[in-house]
Amino acid sequence: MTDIPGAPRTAGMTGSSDPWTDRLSEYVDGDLDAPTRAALDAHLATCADCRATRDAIERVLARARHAPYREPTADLWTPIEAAIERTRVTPIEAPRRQRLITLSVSRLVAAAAAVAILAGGTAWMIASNRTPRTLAATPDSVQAPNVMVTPAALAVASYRDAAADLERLLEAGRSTLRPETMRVIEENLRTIDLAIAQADSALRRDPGSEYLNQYLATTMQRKLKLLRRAIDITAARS
Amino acid sequence: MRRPRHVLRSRSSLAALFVLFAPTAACAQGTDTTITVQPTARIQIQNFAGSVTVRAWDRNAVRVIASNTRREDVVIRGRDAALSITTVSRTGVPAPLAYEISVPAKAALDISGTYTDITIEGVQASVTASTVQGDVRLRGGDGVVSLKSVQGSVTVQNAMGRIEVNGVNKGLSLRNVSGDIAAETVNGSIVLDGVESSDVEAVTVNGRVTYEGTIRDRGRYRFGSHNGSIVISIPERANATIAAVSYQGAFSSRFALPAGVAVASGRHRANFAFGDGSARVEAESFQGDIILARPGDAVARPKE
Repeated sequence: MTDIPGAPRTAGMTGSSDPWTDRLSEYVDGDLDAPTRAALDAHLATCADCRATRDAIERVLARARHAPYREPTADLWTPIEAAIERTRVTPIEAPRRQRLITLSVSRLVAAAAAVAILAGGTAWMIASNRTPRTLAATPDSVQAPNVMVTPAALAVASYRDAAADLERLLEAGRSTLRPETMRVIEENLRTIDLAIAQADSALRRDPGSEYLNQYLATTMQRKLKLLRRAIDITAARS
Repeated sequence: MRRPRHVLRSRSSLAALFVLFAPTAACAQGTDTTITVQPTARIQIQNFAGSVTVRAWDRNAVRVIASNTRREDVVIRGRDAALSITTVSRTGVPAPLAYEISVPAKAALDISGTYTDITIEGVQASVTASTVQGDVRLRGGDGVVSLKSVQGSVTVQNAMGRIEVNGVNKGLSLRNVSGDIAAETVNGSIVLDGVESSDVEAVTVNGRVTYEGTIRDRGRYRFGSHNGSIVISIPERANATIAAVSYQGAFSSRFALPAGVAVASGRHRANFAFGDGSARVEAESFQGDIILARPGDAVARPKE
């Protein structure tokens, strides 16, 4: 079996002794801080292997950007903007890192996912079809200096509200299902809850992770979907 | 005045006969009827509990055999283009009932139940089947195929078209299927074997996902699991961009990556391309491994 470079368990094992190789994806993604980026720029000027790898990464990402894109079924931006306004907080002191005072791509995805959860069904589309760069190219107002937003938290709050509403509906229809069926549904809801908790815990440790933001949103969406399906069954039986 | 003895004898005999044979008669009611329909008729079947077995035959007619007693009526409405078959109970909740139904091969099916096993064989038309507690098995199907079960497994073989399979508490198995495919469950594995498709999506929370099938140029393939492994077969001549993401799992390949394949690796992901990379293959597992394999090495096939 061949380990594929970049594996979390084998992070850093790219087969290359060049310590910069593992940072090239972050470089291409624009995730490096300024000093590291400058240092890597200097390294690229002298390292043909790293330049070739960087070029290959950019080609892969270019292909990824050509994946089919579907328009959202609802106007997502307006509620996102409103949600951002609601969570606007004035920092006590100037943040030390630019990341803290701008709406990062991953957080925008999470915000969009939060709204999508409420709208009922486009989070998956956002997470899977709309590339982060496309989102980053959306309204200029996203770049809001001195604004600290926490859309991941917003997504969780929105999800909890929606889940609580659906759980109440499911509870109301409990008597229409056999206890065994209800038990199975509840067990599966708990399975998804566990996945959500694990994703949330990971996100707390790594709040800048675009993957975890997206994953948390899609997992929450999955629970809402199961709740809706269970409610549909109780409605059909009543 | 004494009543004639033969009358008494007659009444008591009738009572005895009623006591002896009434339950038997109720149990033996049954249904066996055949209705002429168009070859492309739409057949709707509802059975609250028990089983529904549908088989295609070469007649333009629907034959309904049911195990109903006098407590349940099998109500058949319509003919020609559309037919509905439902169970109506005279005593509240319908008792479990077994249906054996023969339909024209091109007839579209819409089958629903609650505590019902559903088996469909040989139909070459759209199939919709849903149950809460029971297995769904389909062999055949052409067009829109939508199968759902909450507590049971769903298995599909030899279907083509737009195939959507939803489970909750059991696994899903799709073999020798073609078309656009979406499979989703919560607590179970997903096996996709012998797939011919440009558009596949298979997602579970607690289970493994295995894919053995085509990777077509410009196709889109998406596989996800929370805590299960994802095994994907990549044909040797595939033109595909692989985007693999795992938070706690590892990425590996059962074959040596071709020379010249550049891997773009990040903290939790690996991206790389085979050939011109026109197909997009996304694999995402929070806790499981992501494994690439060659055709024949991804899915463990049951012994014939």
